[in-house]
Amino acid sequence: MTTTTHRAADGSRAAGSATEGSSAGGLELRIEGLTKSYGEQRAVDGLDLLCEPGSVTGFLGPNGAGKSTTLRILTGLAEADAGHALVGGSPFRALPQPARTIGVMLDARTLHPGRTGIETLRLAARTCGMPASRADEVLSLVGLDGAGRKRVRGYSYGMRQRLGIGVALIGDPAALVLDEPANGLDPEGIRWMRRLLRSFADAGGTVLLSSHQLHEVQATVDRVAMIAHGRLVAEGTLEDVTSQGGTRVAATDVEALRRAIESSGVASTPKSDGSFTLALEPADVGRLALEHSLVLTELQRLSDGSLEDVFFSLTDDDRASTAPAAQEASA
Amino acid sequence: MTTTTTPNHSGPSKASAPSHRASPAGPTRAPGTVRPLLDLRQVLDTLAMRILLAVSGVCVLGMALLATVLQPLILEPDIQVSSGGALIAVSLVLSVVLPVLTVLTVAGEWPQSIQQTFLLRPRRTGVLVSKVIAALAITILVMAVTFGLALGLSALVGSVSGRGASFQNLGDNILGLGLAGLFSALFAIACATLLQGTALAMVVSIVVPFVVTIAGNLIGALGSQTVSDVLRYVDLSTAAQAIATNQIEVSSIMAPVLLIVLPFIAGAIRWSRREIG
Repeated sequence: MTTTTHRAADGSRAAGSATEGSSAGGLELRIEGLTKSYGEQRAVDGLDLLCEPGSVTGFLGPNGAGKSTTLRILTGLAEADAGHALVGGSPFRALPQPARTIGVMLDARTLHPGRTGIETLRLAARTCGMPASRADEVLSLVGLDGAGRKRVRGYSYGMRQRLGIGVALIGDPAALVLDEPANGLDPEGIRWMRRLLRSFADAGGTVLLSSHQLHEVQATVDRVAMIAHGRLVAEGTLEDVTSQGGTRVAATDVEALRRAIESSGVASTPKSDGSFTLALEPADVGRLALEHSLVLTELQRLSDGSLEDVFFSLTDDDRASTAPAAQEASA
Repeated sequence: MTTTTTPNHSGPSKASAPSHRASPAGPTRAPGTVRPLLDLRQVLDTLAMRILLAVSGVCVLGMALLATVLQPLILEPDIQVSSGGALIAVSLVLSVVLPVLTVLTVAGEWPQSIQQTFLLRPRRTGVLVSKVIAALAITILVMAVTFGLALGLSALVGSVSGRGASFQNLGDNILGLGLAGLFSALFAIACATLLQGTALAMVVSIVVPFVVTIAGNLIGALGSQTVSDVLRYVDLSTAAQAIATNQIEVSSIMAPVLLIVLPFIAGAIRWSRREIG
């Protein structure tokens, strides 16, 4: 039985999921029942997520899955219709000193183009009450020593990414939220970033990392949270998620299969041909079919153990859905 | 905090991560929300603002020189150099410069860079108040320097030309023109807060007062007093003059309410609620 956790529609965390509460001295990021709609379009749909101190959590999903909306709500740039996104138990906007608590880099293109790199960091340091020397320290840390006096508009995208990460680190926060930090970085830069995040987490920091670069995520994160159409379709340690990935299943009675899946509470993705992709081992799917007296016409393991394979098996279709009750995939 | 450093043989520098502890270069103080000095530094440190200040300085100086040096050349020999004329001349420049400076101060970070500001200072109302204070500080400083320059040049040119300078009604002139400049800046702040974009806010805050004043005068001259009276309710320049000369009417109160207070309140609500990114 696998240990990957799955989301419940009512927002409850499945058994075997991350321990509730924060670790001693650490800062947890907690998202509970988060919902956000734009008109008729539901961008985030009852999302639950917990990022614990000492871990790097990869936040994955296809374009339009709701990642950026979730991160913007978490960082106070947007408001949720329902649910909570808490940083150490408080909403971002209620943090007394946000930059000293959580470092955020969502879009490096929003760095002011008319300022120099060092001035950008000095202003950020001044804003969060850090000494000016911290700016020089961080400039060196992100590898921009030689470009500090250059205006940001003259930076390459990779240099802006480095500077954005520097701004996130300026207040010596206990948590980091980074959206696509590897974009624009060269291989050396990616390696540097990987080490940075690893050492940050190893020192007790909490990292939430959103990325499309699945190979990079696989090399960096401890835990994975995958969303599709605003819903969490898989969550767990990297090993757990990649060990099962997904199973495609079809039955003679599609509706009976749908009801069986819904009653199990397992995350599933319906396919246009009537089959479903479930975040379960084939053996568990077989047991499920047996319990409901279903005649299966297809039972196929989709994952070859790579995160990419799991990602596509769980998110690549017209729409993803989660069943109403959460459960441990191995139950 | 201490900085945990791990060797990096390939990265740009050393790969290191903060350890979330007290640093040798630790925090200096707990920052507040309303920080106009920080906002002043933020806006003055941009290339756009520096260029704008340089151009504004040249324009103000040029207009002050024209308004004073030309007077001995074109006026009768026994007429003194008028400080009032110089003040009016530089006020024309200020009616463009002040809206541009204040819009850039309040809304210069919208729509993109404001994300960085709100991530560091998430209490948006405090940020708005801070930027408004910074914009008003710039307004007062620019007006003081400009008026001082105009008066100083008037005195200098009057002295050099041997005509002397006239400072008749100096207090009334400064009060009227200063109030007009302040209203111009406040209207620009309201536009910047409401529109949250520099280009449109600049155009509106510069063009609307000109159009209203010119239209009011034209329509009044053409005989439609009713329309002219209605336009006075949105004429900040006339309102400033009325208040400065203590000839306050309903229209001179309503104009700042309609063009400054109400747009600013609507803008402040939008500022606090608008989704970023």
